Amino acid sequence: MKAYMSNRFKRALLDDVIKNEFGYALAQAAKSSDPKLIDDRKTPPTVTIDGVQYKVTMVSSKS
Amino acid sequence: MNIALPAFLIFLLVLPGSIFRASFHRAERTSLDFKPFASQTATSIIYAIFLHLFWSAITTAILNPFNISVDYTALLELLIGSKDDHSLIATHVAEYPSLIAIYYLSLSLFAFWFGIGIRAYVEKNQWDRRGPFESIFKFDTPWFYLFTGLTDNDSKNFDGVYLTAIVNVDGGSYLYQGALFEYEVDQEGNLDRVLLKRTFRRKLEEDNSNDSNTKWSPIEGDYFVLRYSEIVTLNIMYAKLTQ
Repeated sequence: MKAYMSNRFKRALLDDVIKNEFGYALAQAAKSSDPKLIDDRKTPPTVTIDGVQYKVTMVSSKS
Repeated sequence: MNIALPAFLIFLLVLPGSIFRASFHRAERTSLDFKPFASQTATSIIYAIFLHLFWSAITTAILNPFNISVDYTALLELLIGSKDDHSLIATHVAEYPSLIAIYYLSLSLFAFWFGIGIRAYVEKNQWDRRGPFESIFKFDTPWFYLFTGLTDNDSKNFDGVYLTAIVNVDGGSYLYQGALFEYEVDQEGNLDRVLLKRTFRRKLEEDNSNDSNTKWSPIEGDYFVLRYSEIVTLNIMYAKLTQ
């Protein structure tokens, strides 16, 4: 079954040009979600999708 | 050839209810519903009764100007298994074969699309996650709710699911993390495997909050398949992209 993902998230996942950029941004965002890493949280990683720059963060499903 | 006509009629009558149930109930299982047969049948019969009442009322309203209506008496006699089955078929069923076929085909199509529509409406209004109808409408699909971030009664407010899993490989423990692309469940509805993209891994013993991300090794490939049976623990995060 397909997991839920937004269109821009899917485009970023399937785009080979930014695959490393997006992969590292997600990995860094996952690590930055640790409250102990205050410095990382101040500067969330970014990824450029279709010319638009997005900040990548991990959120609670409640937020 | 002698066939059990009442049994065949009951099957035909319940069929729209079964179609509705199959299209309405969300399922994660790869095989058909494993609920007890009696439970499935009872649910289908209840759905079928309401569908037939609704559809026969519409049919009667449409065909009333032509002095044609649904003959409930004939239907009941056929269900009871009257000795005059064949004469009843000749006089009532064979008289309007195309109308009866259209009735069943249209009702079956309506039941299918109505089930999908009702499910979409229930999910849109979150009746399966909150309110007095939750126990009635909540689908038995825990992984679906988890991987769509709907376990806490809230709407989706993220762009994708990100997984971190601990896997034991050759006596060592590794952390794997990646964006969840697809997941599969087995016949019982248990998670069978997950398909990740943009996957990284590192040794668990090297996982230190003070380390940089450089120790994560990217795994090349289009998809990384992780079997759930090999996962020790699974952490689920929800990624959000904001401008």
